[in-house]
Amino acid sequence: MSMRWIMKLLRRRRGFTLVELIMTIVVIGVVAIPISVALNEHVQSVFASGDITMANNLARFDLAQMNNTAYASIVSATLNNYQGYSYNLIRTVTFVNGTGATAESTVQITDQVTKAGSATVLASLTTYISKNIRYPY
Amino acid sequence: MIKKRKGLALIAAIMLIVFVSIAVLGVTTFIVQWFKQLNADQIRLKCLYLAQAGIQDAIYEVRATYKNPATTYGSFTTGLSTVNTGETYRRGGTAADFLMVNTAGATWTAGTYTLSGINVQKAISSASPVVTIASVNVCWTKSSATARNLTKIVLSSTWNGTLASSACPGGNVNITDVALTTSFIPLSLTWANSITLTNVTVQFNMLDGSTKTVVIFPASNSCQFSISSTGKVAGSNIFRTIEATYDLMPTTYATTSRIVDVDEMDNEITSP
Repeated sequence: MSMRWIMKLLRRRRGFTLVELIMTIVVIGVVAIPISVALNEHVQSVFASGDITMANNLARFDLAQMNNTAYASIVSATLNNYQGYSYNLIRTVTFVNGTGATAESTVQITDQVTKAGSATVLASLTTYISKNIRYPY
Repeated sequence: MIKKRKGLALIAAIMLIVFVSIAVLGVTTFIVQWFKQLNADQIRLKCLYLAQAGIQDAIYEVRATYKNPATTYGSFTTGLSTVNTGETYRRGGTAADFLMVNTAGATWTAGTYTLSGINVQKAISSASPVVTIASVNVCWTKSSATARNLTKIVLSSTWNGTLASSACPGGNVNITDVALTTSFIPLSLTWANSITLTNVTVQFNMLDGSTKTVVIFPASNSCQFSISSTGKVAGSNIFRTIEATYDLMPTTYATTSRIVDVDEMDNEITSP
């Protein structure tokens, strides 16, 4: 393969026209915008879903604890960096039946979990626990 | 001059659009599905705790209205209740679930061959569902080769007859329908002669087709009912249902009464 043959080949090669280049840039630009938006949303959703899942797990953990806590000790609380994670848990306890002094009563427990430093509630779970209710285990 | 040129880049770009559009659509669909799944998981968790709320509240109602041995073992209401805006539970069950049979005081009287001291009531104060006993199947053990026939059942009204069957589930006795209330009523059974006093069992057949089998003798510290509670969040078809069985354990009520069984069920409570 001689140098002359290569030079000949290069001379014969036709480049892209200006119109082709401009249209290609426009088309790729049009396509790139939704791609970048979709990718950004995807990345954001990965982070968001991780936060929501974690918040739900922490709320569920707290309610499971309340189910196994002495009734008189179930009280409202704000627990920052709950269980060592960067999430805050706000537990709100209110009586829906009776009071703390009555023989029988029921409390409503609402657990709300936020990311530390944020006011956005990522998870909110509510249940009731009644006094004197025992389980076989 | 332009006519002579072949446009390759444009065709390539259009093909690129097609392929990339498919990819973008795929990613977008994936993200949407992901969030739908995440949202569904959140709702499922909420529903579970709402269902638990229904169970806890029902047992509170029973305990708050319990009066033993005066007139009632307590009761709760069925139907829909709102916990928070858009967050509800609905309590229900079959008639057999709500049938309470207190066997703690069951007594055999040798002279009359009668088993008595058993009380029956319904566990709900709501009118729906109706808790009515339509018939009973009684089974017992004969004390000898001689027939020991069941001759009388008293439950609100009196059935007199001869029931020779003793093996479980026993012969069906079509008593006059008994619509139960929240005040307990006595049940007694009389035989023609003495029987072996082990595992005297009654299957209560309710008007809605549900059944409940109770060992009424020997006496046991038991008086059970069941509650089904479905938790739901507005705007979603997702639900979770829990069924719990609570035993009043009447003779030691204050210290031992408890939930004896909890299960999650597949079906949704839709009425009352």
